[in-house]
Amino acid sequence: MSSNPSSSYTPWVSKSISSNSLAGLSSSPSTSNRSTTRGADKEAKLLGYLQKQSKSQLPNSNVKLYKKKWFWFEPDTGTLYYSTTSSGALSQPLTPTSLSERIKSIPIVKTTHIEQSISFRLEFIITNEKKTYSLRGIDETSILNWVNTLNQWKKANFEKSSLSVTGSIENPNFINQLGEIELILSAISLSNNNLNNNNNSNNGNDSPIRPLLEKFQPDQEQIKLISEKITQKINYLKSCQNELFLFQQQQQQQNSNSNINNISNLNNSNNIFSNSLLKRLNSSQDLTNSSNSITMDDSLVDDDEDDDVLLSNGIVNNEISDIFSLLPVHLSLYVFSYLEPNDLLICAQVSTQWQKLANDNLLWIRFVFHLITPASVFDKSHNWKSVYLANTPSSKKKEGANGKEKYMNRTISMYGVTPLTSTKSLKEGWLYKRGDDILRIWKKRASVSTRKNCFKIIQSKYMTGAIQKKRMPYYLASDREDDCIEWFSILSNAIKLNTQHQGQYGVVNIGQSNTLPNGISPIATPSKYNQYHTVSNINSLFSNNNNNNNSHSSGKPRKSHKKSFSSSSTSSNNNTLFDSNPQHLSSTPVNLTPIYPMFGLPITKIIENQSAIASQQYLKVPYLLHVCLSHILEKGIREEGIFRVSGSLREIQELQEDFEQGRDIDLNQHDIHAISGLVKTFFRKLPHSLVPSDLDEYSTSVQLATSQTEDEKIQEFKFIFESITPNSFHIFKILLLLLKQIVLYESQNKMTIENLLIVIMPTLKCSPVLITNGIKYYEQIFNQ
Amino acid sequence: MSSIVKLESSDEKVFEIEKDIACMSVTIKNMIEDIGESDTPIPLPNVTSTILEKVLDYCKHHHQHPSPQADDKKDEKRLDDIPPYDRDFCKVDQPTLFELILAANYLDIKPLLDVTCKTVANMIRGKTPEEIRKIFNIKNDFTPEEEEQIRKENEWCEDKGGN
Repeated sequence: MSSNPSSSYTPWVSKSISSNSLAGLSSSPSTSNRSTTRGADKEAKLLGYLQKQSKSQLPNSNVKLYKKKWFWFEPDTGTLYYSTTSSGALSQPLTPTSLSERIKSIPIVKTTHIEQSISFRLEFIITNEKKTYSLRGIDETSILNWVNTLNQWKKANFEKSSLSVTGSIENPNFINQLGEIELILSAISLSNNNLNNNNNSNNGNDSPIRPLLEKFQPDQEQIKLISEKITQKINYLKSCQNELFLFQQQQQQQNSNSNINNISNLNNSNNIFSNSLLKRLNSSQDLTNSSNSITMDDSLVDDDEDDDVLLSNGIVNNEISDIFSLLPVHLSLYVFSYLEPNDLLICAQVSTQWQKLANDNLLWIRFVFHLITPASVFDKSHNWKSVYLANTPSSKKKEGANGKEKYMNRTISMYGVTPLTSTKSLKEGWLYKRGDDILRIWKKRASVSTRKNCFKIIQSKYMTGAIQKKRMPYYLASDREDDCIEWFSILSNAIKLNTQHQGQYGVVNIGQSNTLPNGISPIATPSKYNQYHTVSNINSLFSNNNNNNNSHSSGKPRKSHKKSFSSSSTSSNNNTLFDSNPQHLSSTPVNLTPIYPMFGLPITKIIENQSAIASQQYLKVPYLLHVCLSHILEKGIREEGIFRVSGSLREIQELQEDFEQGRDIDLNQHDIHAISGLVKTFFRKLPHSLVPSDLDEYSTSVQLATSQTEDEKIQEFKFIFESITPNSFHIFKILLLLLKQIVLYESQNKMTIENLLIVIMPTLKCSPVLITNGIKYYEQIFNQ
Repeated sequence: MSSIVKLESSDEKVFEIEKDIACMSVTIKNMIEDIGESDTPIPLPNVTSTILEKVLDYCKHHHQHPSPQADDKKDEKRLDDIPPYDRDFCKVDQPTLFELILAANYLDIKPLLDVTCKTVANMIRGKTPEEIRKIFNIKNDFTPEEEEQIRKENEWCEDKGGN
């Protein structure tokens, strides 16, 4: 028998005592405390809410119904207990019943089988000889925990329980004893019920178990057993009550609720009851007063009900107390993301938690988009809030505070233009330097999307060690054309000025400034070009590549890009990018007739043409593709955004012209993105598709077919590729090899296969399925 | 013909709703896609029946009155564009509102999440720190020195507040 039964119960039972017992549950009521297998591993205590499958079902479905219940496992008794009350059943009328009926048990015995449900991972199943219980938890971890602990317990106690079984067989009396005791104990519970039904008329002297006692005539031993059982129960109830009391005290500290007195009074009186009862039971004399224990049960039940109400009140109060602390951080940030800077600054002053939230870099980055330079985006040390505050003039802050001004300023930063005068205010913009090497150019209210009235600054390549790095161009926009021209001239002058001071950055040529005096606007007819390409209308501040072009560093002005998208060739008069003649500046582009046309012709025609050229006659693919794709394969596969970043349209057209004029081309001199752009242009201009439409459709159906194994599919794709014309096949062979390599280096070039498909599919006239699978199974398809 | 989906709240109430409406929740949509349609109620252990009921009301209303999504990209972070139904919908006590946010997040119903978060942001907007503390029952856990320091750090908005 358990000498310290109170420790074997969880005190949290109070939670569950909130409503009536439920019909239709699969387990039978049991008051038996299996006392023979105690003391295995007391620390392995499990408790928590589980959901127990209920027998009752919706009339028109075979859906599993679950009742949420408070479960706990008693290593001492090897029994899984649960309260019969469902947490959501508060709305039903409460019928006080005894605790023993509120708590039901599932004994874990030798034959019990415990395992996680195969079909539903959140469920585990306990199979006893007669019954199966499926219990559901909140998450899989807790389920696994339950299953493990129960199984462990079973393992650890297997021998003991078998011993106890043999013991009880040897002593049949023992079983009888237990049976009688259970009768008496359940009688206590039952009578408890009856008394409640009789309006608590429990003062009657006739103990309801008296007749039972008289009937069974238990001997001293049995009386002792019963009394121990009752003591156990009382102790358990007491511990529950104490815990309840403590819990309530905690609650009360928060709620300053005065109900505590009632509870503590009851508690005291109950203690008196149980103490006196204990005395009597231990002396195993008069059991007539055991009805007192029933009184105690009743009051306890009532307490618990009160407490439950208190509990829910407490929760509500808690929630009100600081709702933001209950929200996950990302949701709080989401709320904050709707706030303007000034509100965020206020929020930072509310509390430490709010301060942390309101200072979050993610919140501030959207106010500093205009301040972000390519170099700074990935610089984790940036505190965007301070950047914002440092870079927002006070006048702006006021506007921002009014919530009227949008922070659409554009800024650029340019490295290596330090000698520029620091702060120069012009109209709505500022030119100033920040730090030692950054020039910022601000324009107010230039919308992000517009490409009107914008110009571009191209920076020189620079050397770090032996590696040549390319810089991204900057785009500047302004509202009005006048502004744009003005800005442009200021910048041109600034950069001109700069070149005198800083030879190391090479010569920066500003072609447009030359045309300005002649009245030719550098921002020629924006609307005409907008619709075609994103970087139209751009006046280039060209920088020389100081690595290769020192001989040209005297700075010859460039002509502006004035061609419409469709014009296929430009007037560039030499092969290198930087060697244009100033006299061409204001001249209209001259369309040269291609000597070796390559664009817009069928593949067969191109191959036919190039077979006439000695150096190209053995090529199986168009010369241009051969040269460009191998160049990209060699130099460009690690380039970030290869095939995605659009090269200068003008450079692409020059390249095209160079190819078609049969000039010598040193691709190393050219921007890798212009070369990839050239490849895309080539494919786009192809008059026919590389793959016949029927094969194209077939490839899609192969992809979708589920019946085929992977190997079979590879064979199908191989068949498709081999069925297309040999020319196309060879093009695919080198193209897919390149794409495969690009995808291989996706960590460096940031081009995953999805990204690559997005940018390249519009130019290739075939199904993306072919490309993805071609890349995936390149080896099998193209390597014999 | 839209089939019926059953949803089970954390307190075991089962709601029946048209699939189209339920699929406004990306979470439920994904679940249905993953497990296929069945008679089994989809358990939503993080949502109570009261909240789920409200959420479903919202979904029903917006299913019947789809809002025009024309210029959604124009200015995402506007606070004054809450439609009247949504504004009334969010006129609930704070615990409910916050449970709605949690539910919208869990169920992945972006319009609902947006509108509830906007409502909370509107509660914050244009208030002083003290007012915010009062509204949300937040304890000021700064020491006076800290408070002064932080006030200085976040100065310019205070200036404006003084004007």
